[in-house]
Amino acid sequence: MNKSVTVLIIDDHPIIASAYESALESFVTQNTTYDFKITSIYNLDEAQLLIENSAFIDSLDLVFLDMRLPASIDGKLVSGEDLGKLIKSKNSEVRIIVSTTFNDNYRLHNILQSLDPEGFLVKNDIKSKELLRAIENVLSGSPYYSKTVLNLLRKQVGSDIYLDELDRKMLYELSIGAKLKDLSNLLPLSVAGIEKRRRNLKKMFGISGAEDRDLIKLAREKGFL
Amino acid sequence: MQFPISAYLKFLIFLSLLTACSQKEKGNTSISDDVKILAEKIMLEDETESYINKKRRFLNAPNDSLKNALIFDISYYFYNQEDSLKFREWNNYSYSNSKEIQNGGGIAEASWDLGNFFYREHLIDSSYYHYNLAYEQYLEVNNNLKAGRMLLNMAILQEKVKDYIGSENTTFQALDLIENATESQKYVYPANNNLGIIYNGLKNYSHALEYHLKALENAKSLRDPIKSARSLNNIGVVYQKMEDHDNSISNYTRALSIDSLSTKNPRLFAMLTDNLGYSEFKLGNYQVASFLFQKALKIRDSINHESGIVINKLHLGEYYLESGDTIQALKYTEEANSLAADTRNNRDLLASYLQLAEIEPTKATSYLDSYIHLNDSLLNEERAIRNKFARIRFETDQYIQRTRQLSYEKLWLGLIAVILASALFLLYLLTNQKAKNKELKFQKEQQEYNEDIYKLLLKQQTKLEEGRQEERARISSELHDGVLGKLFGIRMNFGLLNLNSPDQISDKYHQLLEKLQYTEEEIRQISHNLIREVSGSHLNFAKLLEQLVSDYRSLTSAQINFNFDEDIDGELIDENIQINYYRILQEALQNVVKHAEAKNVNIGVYRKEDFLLMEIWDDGKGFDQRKKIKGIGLKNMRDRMEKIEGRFNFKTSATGTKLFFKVKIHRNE
Repeated sequence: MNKSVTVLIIDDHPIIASAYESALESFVTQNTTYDFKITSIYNLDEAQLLIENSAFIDSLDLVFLDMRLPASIDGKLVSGEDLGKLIKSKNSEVRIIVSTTFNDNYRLHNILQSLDPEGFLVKNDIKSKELLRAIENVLSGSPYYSKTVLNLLRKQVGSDIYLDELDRKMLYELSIGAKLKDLSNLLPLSVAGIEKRRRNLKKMFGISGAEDRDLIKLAREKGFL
Repeated sequence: MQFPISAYLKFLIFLSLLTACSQKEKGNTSISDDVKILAEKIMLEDETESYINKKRRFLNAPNDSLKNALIFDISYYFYNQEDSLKFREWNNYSYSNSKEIQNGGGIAEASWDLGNFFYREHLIDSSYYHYNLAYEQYLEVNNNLKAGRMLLNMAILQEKVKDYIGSENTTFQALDLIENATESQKYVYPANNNLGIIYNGLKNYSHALEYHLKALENAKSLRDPIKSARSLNNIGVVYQKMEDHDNSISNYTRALSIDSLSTKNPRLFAMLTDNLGYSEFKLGNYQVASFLFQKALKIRDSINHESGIVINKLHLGEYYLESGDTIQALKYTEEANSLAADTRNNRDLLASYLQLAEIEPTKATSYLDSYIHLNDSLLNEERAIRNKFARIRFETDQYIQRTRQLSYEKLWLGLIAVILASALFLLYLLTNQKAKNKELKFQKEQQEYNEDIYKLLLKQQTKLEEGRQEERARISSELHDGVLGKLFGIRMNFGLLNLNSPDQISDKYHQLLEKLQYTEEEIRQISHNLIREVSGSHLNFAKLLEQLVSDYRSLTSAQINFNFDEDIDGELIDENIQINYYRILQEALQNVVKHAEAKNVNIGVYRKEDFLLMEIWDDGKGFDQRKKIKGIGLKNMRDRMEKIEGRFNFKTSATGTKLFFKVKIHRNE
């Protein structure tokens, strides 16, 4: 007897959606125990509408979620991350496979923190086989992270440096070229507070100079960026 | 009266000068020697050469202080020789030569010599005149002592003509000048002596005695027995006038007791003896008197002292008259009378007439007539001379006053000139400073403007940078989200393609290829966009001006049209030109907004061959050229155009203003 699985694919590129569909189809040909009911949606507005439907959300099992999506018309949702949080809040049982082209650790870390997805695919990492393996793992209850994500986790577990959210955001903003005075607008901190934090960061990373560049470089090496 | 400096002394000084100089200036010494020898030849009247020839040779010698001194020597030599003609001649040379070499003391000395000469010739007024000249000259060269001595000479002359008051006055003036000098004693003596004589003449005997006693003190401190004797004699004369014959006798005796007076100054000794005899005679000691009169007459005869002889004989006549021997009395008095007349000794001539009248009562009227006649003429003469003196002195006073006034005027003029000059100088400094300040201020402003421009350019640059950044982000997201996503999708699909049934492959395969083609197209599009952006990034200058114009559009209701020639490549235009055109446009727009009340403003920036032109014209009310031509706005524009070697013209009328600018784009190529 086949197990029915309701799948929602959200990606603004139809070709990617079709790739997921193809993958699910090919998965079925190998594992006949599953029966997929697939819905593909290409924008946040439609997705939002769909998950408002409680019957659908309650029956939903698996979501392929692209991270970078055009913002919804009402502006409430600006990314796949927001949609993922919404879905989780409505049905915590839903398993989410995140796919993204991001490969910077900060973003990846943020997604791990906010969504805790069952599957996490960095598009560059995966080939067709890995996609199939991800589907299999997630359906059988074990998480699947592609190699970039795994490397990130490994680095962080192996490091004795602990950074809180503000530290990470500050590092990230610095890495994309923010100045000290910009930081005070981006972070809920005074200029003095920012300076103190930055000094602490440098201490943690064991950097003596005043150059932010060294800090960024090391943070990137250690997997925080 | 003394001669200024003894020629002998001068000669000594000159010799010692010569030896002092001889080591230093050997070349000059021979010439000096020649002149010296020549001078000696002139004085000694050496017959080897004619006087005229010697004189010519001497006068042709180069002028110097030595020659000047020698002229004085020669002049003094002829004075002593009583050669009036040659003395006058050389005195004249001494005067003119001193003037030539600007020897002020020499000029005075020449006048002094001449004064002495006239005094000796009994030409009292001429003498007085030349002493006065010397006096003025000495004042001019600040030689107070000699000026005082000149006054003293003049006072003595005044006394001679019985101008006692005038003489007294002059003497005191002389004393004022003399008293501060180092060797004053020597010259205070004659002053006091003269004062004593004056007061005696004025019959003020107590004063006369006082001054003669002072003179006696001077003589004693000078250790001069002759002067002492003279003073004692004068004191005796005063007492004689007071008819205090005992006192006069004691003074005369004191004078006569001075050691060897009879040999040192027989004239004075005879005078004292005669005076003593007269006092004894007045006391009735006839025998003593007779003896003394005869003794004095003997001495005076031996030295041929004519005026002394006259007085002596008068005294003898009086004595014989008193003792009743009228024949002897008449004989002596007549002798005195004729000698006095011969020697023009008028004072004693008068006395002899009176005495003759007494001796011969029968001829008394004719003698008294002669007396009155002579006395009158003498009085007139004295009065005339006194008047002359007064006139000379008056002129001198006037002269002094005038020179003083002139020097005051000179001083004032000098002061005013200095003040004026310094005021002008200050004014010059002030205006100069002001101009400098102005220039500095202008430079500072200029710098500030340039900084503004730089900031603007920088802002523009930042904006450009921002735009570039934005563009990069756009391209990045386009690649990332669009192309990368699509490629991922295609790759996935290709990956899964093998696993599907073969009959589906063909369809899907072609579908995917098509997708690849689209993606290709998309990449090409992005690449195209990149190129187009790059080509449009050279419009800085135009943008700057455009920005400026749009700033002013918001400030005015006037319609501002801005045309920027597409042909202008901003990058090729010198930055200085850009900055100055920018500023000029700003200035012009400022003027339009502030003053012109224009409805339309047209701005054109064109390129014509190698020139960059800018025209700004408005339909406003224009401005008064004469009034505003120097207005800072237009001046700034002109300055700016000069700085970039460009040209600036403008036309203005009640219906509008047009400004025209032209500059060569490639200046230094």
